[in-house]
Amino acid sequence: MFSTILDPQDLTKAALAVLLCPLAGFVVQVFFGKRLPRQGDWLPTGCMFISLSIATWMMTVLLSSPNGIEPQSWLVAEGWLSSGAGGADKGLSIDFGILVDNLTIVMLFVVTLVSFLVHLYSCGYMHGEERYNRFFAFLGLFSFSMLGLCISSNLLFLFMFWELVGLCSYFLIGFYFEKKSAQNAAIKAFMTTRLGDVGFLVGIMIIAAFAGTLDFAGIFESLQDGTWDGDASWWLTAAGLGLFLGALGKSAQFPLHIWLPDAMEGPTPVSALIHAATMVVAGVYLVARMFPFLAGPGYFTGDFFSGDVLFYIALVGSFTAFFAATIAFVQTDIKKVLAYSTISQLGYMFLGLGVGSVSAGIFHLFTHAFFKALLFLGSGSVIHAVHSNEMEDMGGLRKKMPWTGYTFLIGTLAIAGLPFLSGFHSKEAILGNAYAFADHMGHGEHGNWLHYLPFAFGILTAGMTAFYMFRLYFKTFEGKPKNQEAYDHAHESPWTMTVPLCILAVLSLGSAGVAGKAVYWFEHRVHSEYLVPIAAGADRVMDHVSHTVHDFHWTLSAVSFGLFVAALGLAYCFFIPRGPLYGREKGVASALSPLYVSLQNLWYLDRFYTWLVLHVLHTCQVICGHFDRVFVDGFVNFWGSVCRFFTGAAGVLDYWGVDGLVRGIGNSTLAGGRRLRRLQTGFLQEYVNASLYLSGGLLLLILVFYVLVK
Amino acid sequence: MLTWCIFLPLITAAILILIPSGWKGLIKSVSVIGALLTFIVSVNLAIGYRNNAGDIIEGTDASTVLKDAQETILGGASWKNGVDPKDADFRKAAYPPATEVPTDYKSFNPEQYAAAKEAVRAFASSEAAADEVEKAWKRALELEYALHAPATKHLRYTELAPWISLFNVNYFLAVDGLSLPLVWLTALLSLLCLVYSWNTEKGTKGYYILFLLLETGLLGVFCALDFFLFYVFWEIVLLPMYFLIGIWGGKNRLYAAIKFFIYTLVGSVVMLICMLVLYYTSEPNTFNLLSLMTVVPGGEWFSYGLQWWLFLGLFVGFAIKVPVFPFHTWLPDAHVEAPTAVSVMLAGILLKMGGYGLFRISYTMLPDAAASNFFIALLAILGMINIVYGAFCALAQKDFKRLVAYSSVSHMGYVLLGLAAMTYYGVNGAALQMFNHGVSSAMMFLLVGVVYDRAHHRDLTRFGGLGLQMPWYTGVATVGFFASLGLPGLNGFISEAMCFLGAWGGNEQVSLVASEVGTHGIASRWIVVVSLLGVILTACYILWTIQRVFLGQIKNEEYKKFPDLSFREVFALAPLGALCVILGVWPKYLIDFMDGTLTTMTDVVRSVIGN
Repeated sequence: MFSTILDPQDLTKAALAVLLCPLAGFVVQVFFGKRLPRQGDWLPTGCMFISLSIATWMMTVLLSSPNGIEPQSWLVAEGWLSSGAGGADKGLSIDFGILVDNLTIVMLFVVTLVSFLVHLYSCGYMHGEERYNRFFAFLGLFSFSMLGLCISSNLLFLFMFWELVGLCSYFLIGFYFEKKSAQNAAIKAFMTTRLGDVGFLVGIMIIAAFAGTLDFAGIFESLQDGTWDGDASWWLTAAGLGLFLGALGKSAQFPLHIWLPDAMEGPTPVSALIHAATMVVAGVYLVARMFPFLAGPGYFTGDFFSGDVLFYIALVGSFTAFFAATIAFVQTDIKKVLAYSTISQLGYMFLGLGVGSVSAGIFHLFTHAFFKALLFLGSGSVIHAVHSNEMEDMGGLRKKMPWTGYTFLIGTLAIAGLPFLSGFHSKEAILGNAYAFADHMGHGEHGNWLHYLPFAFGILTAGMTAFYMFRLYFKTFEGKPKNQEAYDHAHESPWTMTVPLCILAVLSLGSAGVAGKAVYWFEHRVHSEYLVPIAAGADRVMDHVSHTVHDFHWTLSAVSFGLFVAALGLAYCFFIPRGPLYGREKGVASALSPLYVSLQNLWYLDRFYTWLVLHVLHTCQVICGHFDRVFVDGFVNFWGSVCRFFTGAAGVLDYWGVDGLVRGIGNSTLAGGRRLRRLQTGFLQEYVNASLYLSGGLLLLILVFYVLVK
Repeated sequence: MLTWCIFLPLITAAILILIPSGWKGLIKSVSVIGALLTFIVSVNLAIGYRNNAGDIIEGTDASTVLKDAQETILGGASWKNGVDPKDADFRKAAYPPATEVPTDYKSFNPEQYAAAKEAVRAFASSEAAADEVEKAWKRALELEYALHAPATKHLRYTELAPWISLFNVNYFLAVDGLSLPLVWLTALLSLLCLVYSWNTEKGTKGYYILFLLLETGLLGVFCALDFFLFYVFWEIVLLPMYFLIGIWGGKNRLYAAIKFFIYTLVGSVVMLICMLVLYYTSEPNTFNLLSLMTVVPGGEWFSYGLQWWLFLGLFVGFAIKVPVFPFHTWLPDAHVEAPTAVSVMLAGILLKMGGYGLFRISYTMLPDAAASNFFIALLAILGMINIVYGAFCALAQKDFKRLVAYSSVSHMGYVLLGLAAMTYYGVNGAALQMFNHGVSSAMMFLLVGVVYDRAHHRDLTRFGGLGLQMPWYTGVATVGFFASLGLPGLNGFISEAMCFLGAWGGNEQVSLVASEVGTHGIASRWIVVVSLLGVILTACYILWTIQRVFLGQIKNEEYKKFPDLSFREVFALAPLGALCVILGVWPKYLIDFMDGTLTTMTDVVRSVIGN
């Protein structure tokens, strides 16, 4: 249908249309939303549907071309920010451009699809809430920003949209702003990601300094022409780490993960859209987009591991995956479990990218978006029914809410890694590459045990994920109701909520049939080298690595299936009434008391940060405040009072001294005059006396003078 | 046109004097009309400048005006028969050679100057006329310098007339890409503030008269190109401000007003001394800013040592106005005590006078000192301190207005940082930051004013939940606050990002802050990294303020009676909010104005250090 309007050869215009639809929806909604029928919820939803249609069409174009499309770019606003026109040097110019390639199209499809479903779901879920209209406005703004992030051809624009999605996240986490916890969570999310953004900015500045441009194409070009060789390679690593710090904040990776669990204060559709499927994967997208840069100049010899940055990414990602999974074990809030699960899965994505496989990382992003959105929306449906987040108030709900229950089960199976479901395939791809990485690097010249860590963490996490997810599912949907009252009131949600669940379930499940194919599809289209082609004939180190992946494939599948079964069995034992260990989890917990307490305290990390913020920041502000008032201003006031003292003294001196003298002269003149007036009595006798005295005195004076001179 | 722009407010003020003080409605209407006319003129200026950017506008272009003035002066002197001041031979003899871009004033040595003087004296019709001819020639020569100033080519709407001939003081006005945006902003903010002050009941007449006088002073500062004239306008600003704070201010107004007055007066005195030194050291003696920027004879004059001291003196003068740490403490006091509209002018425009002075006078006139290790390091480090320290101080405040005042201190730090870098991005970013801060801080003060008018207090700990009660106010406030926070898509981000990118510098055009050569490594990129902390701290205090004022349950029953924004308030806030968005989305509108002027200026300073 769209091929008649839009040109399949030039997808950039279509991408712009995808971008602008939600913006238009937002602008109308924010000003007139309240006055529209149904508070205008249909408007952003409709706009999103148009975007989704166009994005789907782009996806079909991509699917119908055997090796994906060639990257296309369109400079929409050249010199959007530039200076130094006609100057002696060449100034930096930042252009707004649209870049459409395989990665972009995949991202657009994911974002528009999940966003549309969440819009639809919200029509039911948010019905009757205060500020219903504004909720949809924010959703629209978010979708716009997220899409902008995916299509920018310039790093600075990516950063700008990156901040805007952070803003929307702030607004939506704090949507129930009457609640103190929601306010704090919103601020925490914004501040933590902003901490990462400082690193991002440093990265941008370094890249701008060396490459002289912030366009992706230009940045990758600079890698080839030797700009980053020699001493500059240090800066290359610094810039890469800076960008990764940004990604850490946005994608909630250790140690900046602390905001995501708190972000669950937002309405559940928001958690599904922003804090599971789209915004939090922005960091993953950034790493994928900048992959050649992060791999360093070695990229062009097909050796992605020559630089250090990717290895750090793999380490941090795999550790986060493991770390977050441990905390998910003990959470009792259904959304918190999913939040930690999200952190863990994002760690997986970074692991995939870090071990050199963009396709594996992005494939996991793709599958995760659907099953995690499904799980969140499912949990939202449950919360809607029982009006509680706590698993203690649930249990046995599958019978009351079959649609929700079965779709949730599909999501659980997908994330837990049941073979041939979407999650299984993407996880296999990542673990296979992690193994190949360990195999390749560990046996290398500088290989050490650290190179095995990513794989070890990864495989461990696979089993743990299956366990805590089944724990969640069993406690919520199976067994006996724990809160009878809540159970009695529970009912299936309206169609606007169940339809998105079903669609997402089909996507999580339905990809089972094509999942095997999809892996190869991703490998061919979103592979690590498509961003900048590597010259043929180069010694392609990565080829050896990919052989290992294929050789190891079956062994790995067997191992992870074994883990899946073991975890399922364990969860069954603990959380199903027929299970042998049912109800014993408290006992196990107390047996492992120190560990359990640390887990419950989130490994004390949040406390540490709170202490840091409260004490360090607070002390600094207090010191500065006092310093300013007491010393800086005190100094000014001190001089003020010194001057006042001197003016006072001068006043006194003036009054008693200078003026006193004048007054003294004046007064004495007056007094003298008064005396002299008495002389002029008019009596001759007195005049004669006076003249006698005067002449006598004068004579005396002359005499004295004479004697002295002599 | 510039004269009209500057003196329309003064004329309006004069009309107000004639109106009986009881007729308040008329007084307000007349002054708003006056401000509106001024604003229209300024818009006209901006449109004209933009349409003719790069081209010469006949009759108002600085070079034409200067040439005409030269001819008039020389035409009036009595020359020997056959001598024509217009012909090439005369020019060759009278004006010693200047290089194409005459930034190297040392190229013009005293011998050449003396020789030219003798030659010109010889052209006089008689021995008796020689002195008079020499005097005319000196005036013409001074204008010749001005003609060669690199900044001259960007100046438009020039007006030049002798004012105090004895001291060679001219009434010399013009605007370029640096000053025009500020002129426009002044006219806009004055208009918005006068409307916003509509409910002023105490001494309405005096208030409006002083406000208009203030506007005249501010416009004059940005337009004046004669140092003496600049100084006069600079002082004119001071007086109405003093009275506006001292009479219409809050509880502690006298303290604040006197502190403001004396503090800025100290700066003025230092500036006055520097001005006189410049005047008496230049040959021929001149106050013309353009002439002072360029070829000046005498080799030794304007030596590096003298420049250094002059730069220091002028910097102190301007730093007090910016304000730069540690001269900033008058600002919070003045802001807290001043009425809302006056705070807006104070933050929006008055602070920019200092920054503008640094651009217009310090950097362009004293490039050697500006590019010296000491001053690069000083400006960059003070900029850093302003950013970080100001933000910390803002965090410590409980008074809403004080917090916003300290945020101004923090934001003006970016100006110093960008300026010290002396890259195209840095300098453009600094100028843009001045404008953007003028918009966003003006907005913030208006927002504080709105809530103060209702609650009659500014204690942040006592607010809460206004988001529920005043949704439109909250919406507008969000725009203002996030613009100040530096959110992309709003104006603050653009200038901050430019300052950072500029201060970091590139490999081709090295930032002076980052160059080891420029600063011996005292100032280096660590300054930029530390300054980046400001980004986090700004977010801290802005978000915290939003939380304390707007979020949560309505804290006080009284607040439930607060009406949302009135028309008067919307009128003042909406244009500023729109500006935040427009300049955030399409900064080119403004950068196109400034880029040419600032690029020239950057090139001049950089040429001094051979880069």
